[in-house]
Amino acid sequence: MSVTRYFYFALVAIVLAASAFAPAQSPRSSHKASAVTKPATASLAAQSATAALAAGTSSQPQALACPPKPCDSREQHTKLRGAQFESDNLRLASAAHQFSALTTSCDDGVRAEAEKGFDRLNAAMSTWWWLEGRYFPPLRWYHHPQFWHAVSRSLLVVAAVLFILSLLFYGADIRAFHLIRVVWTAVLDLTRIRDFWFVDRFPRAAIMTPTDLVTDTKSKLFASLLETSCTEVSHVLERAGGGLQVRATALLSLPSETTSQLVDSMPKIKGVDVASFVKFFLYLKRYLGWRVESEIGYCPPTKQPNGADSAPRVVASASLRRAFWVRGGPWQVKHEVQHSYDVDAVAFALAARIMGFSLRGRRAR
Amino acid sequence: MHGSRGSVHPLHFTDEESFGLFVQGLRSLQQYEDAAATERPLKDELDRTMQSALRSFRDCTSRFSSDLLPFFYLGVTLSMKNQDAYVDRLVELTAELTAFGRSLAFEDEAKVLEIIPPRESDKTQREAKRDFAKKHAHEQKNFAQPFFDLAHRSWPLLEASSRLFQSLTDNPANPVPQDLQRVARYNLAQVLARRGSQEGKESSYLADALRAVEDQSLEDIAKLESDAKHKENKYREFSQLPKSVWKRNWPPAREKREQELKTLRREIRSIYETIALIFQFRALRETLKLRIAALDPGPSLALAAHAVESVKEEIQKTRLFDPSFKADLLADFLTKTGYAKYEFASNRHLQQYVATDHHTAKALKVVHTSSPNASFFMAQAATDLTMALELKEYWNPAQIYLALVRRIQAGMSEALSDLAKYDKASALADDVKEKARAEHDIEDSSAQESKAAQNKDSAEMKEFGSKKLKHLERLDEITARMGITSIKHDRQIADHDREAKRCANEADALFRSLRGFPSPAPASTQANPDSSVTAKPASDSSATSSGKPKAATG
Repeated sequence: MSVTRYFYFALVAIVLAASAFAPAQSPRSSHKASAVTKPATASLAAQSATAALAAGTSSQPQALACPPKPCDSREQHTKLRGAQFESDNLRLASAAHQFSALTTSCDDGVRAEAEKGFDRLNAAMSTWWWLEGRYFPPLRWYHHPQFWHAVSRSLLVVAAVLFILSLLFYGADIRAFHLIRVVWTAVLDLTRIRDFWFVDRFPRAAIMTPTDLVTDTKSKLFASLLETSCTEVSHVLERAGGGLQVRATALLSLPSETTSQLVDSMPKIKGVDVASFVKFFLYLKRYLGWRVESEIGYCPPTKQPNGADSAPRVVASASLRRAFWVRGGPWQVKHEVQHSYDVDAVAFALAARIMGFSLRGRRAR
Repeated sequence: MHGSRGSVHPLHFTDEESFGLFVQGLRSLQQYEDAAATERPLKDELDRTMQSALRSFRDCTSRFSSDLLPFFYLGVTLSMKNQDAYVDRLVELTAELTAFGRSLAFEDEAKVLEIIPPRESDKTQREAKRDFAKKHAHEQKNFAQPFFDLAHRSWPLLEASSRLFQSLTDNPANPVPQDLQRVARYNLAQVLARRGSQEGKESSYLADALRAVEDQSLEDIAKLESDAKHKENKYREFSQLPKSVWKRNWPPAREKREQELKTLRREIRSIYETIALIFQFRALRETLKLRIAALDPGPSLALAAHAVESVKEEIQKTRLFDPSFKADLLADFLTKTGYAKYEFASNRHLQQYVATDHHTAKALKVVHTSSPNASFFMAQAATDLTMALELKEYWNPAQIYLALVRRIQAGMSEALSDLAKYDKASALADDVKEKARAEHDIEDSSAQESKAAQNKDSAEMKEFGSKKLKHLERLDEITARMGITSIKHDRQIADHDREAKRCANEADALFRSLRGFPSPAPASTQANPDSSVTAKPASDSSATSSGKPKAATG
């Protein structure tokens, strides 16, 4: 015999041995295996007991000597209900095991039910969704008898949360729900709640990390200057009304009361978000709240048709967003600069437009 | 422009672009003020910030004609730009300014020589000196004509500025808030007041300016002070820590208290600001009245002068919230009076009137000089303007007028030096003639002596020798006398020259400071740590960094 044939016979022997012994050696390996092997094991045990009686020897003389126990129908039905419960809760492997055990029940009715249940589970566990569900559990959830009930309740909770959040964020703007707003405001001062939680307690608009339009752009410097420029806008206005006279001339400046009104109407812009979003709530807050998205690009000097170099420029734009709505802008600003670090004027120009948005908003109302 | 404004709220902006341009302009204007308020302002920086402010406000007003604040600030910026143009003109006319000063001093001298009766002995000499002074005064005045023409030429920036302020004030149905309207009215009057400096047509500017401030109703200061006191007491009470632990520590209660304190502080400041504004109005109103009264001197002049003085006393007496308010008020007041006195220096009618009217002289504080002349008023103006600059350092209006006055004073000192030289020449004229005669006599005696020596006539030799000695003694005597006279006059001449130089230097320094200094040379590219940084400066800065005087744009 050639080596190939030896190998072939060895392989066939191993497969046969595995098919013969494996279920007996590992009864928990599979519900099918256990279902198939249990009666086989029982018949083997009966055969071995008969053979032993015939040979005049007994390995279990006391057991055979005992009179048969009376069938406890109640206990058998309890076991059947347990198996049924497991089946209803989609724990099919456990249910199949229990049904399998009950197929040898002393109660005829239980035995018949167990066999039916076992066959049903066997069919269910052979379906594609159950087999694939091992790797993607939601496929199995879909077949849960309470699936639609659970989904509907979850959706209800999400809808309620979204409704409350939308009232808090957009309640003042939703004209279509004017009546709801009126009723709500009558019960609770909505604006005050919103301001208390979302304006006073948190920065009103977050500056997101600017996008680099070209390399060599100092976007982080720009973001930082954008934040300080927002504060500077208020300072510029306060200073305009801070003194009696314009410093370099004998003319009068604006009264402080006038500039105070302007400063008071400025929104709050804080924080440069240069870190990734790690907290869901923060992300949600920023996404649903106001945020400033910006982009900046530095254009180095270029050759003009006459051979001279044009002055370098910085081009930037920003927009004020709230969730997926663009509420202000995009505002575009470009400035002739001396070098790529010279982003101060552009940052201030954009900051002034961002701060000016609140004035337009008030005016619209 | 008014029609398009409709019922728009005055402090709001059409959109964020309008607000953005406005704040950009405001920031550039503040950067200009900061740059101008330094010891060595850089010309590039001044030009850049001024251009940027003008560009932003012009852009804003042309695109968003319904927004009010940009119009107000464009008016302010144009007025400031006009200051630059005015300084440029003055620098171009430095020689004419000096000539104006010289003409004033010569006129002063001619007037003195006319008024004081001469002694019989030096009548001719004085008449000659008077003619000399008159002739030079006339010549210098002719030379200074381009400077006088400055008042008659058009100033487009000032005109544009006054139009803008006018647009914020003249329409009764205009929805401009009262505060803004009042400030615009003051600025309009201030701009108009700059135009009127001479008699004739320009006096109508003064009348318009006075009308603008007189139309404005002002609150009662006593009532405002009582309001302020009431609010201050309330603030004092409120600022004490609350007894209740709850109110002290519960964050919302604490925040509410802080907010109320802030509001109170703002209200108090606003009241004091209104008081200060009333004083500004009064100061401008009274100085305008004084300037108008000076054009046609009469009994009203003394009253106007007293009214101006009473405003000063009230400013000094009144308690104001912010110390800078008082400094600003006094500096502004002194600049206004300084400018009025500068005008008095060239107003001969006024000087004649003051010389004859004791009350007016007393009101104008002319007590130590019997003849209030150009030199007196110019010195008074310089004192006021210097004090204004002490109160408000590097304040451009005071700097401009002080530079102007100092340059004129330099010319006056030069004229006084010329007059001293004339006096010296007159005083030495007889001695020079006598000295020449003595020298001639000595030469004659020497010639005759040598002739006698040739003839070997010892008697004649002795006689001519003794004559020559006498003449020599006479020559020594004359030379000594001339030396003594010269020293006296030379000292005067040196004093006047020194004074002229000092005034001219001060004026030049002020003008240099007002126009800005050239930027230092750029550092080498090696100093730049980042290779991505472009060393090449922007085109506009390279054009202006040469420090060459810019062309007048006024």
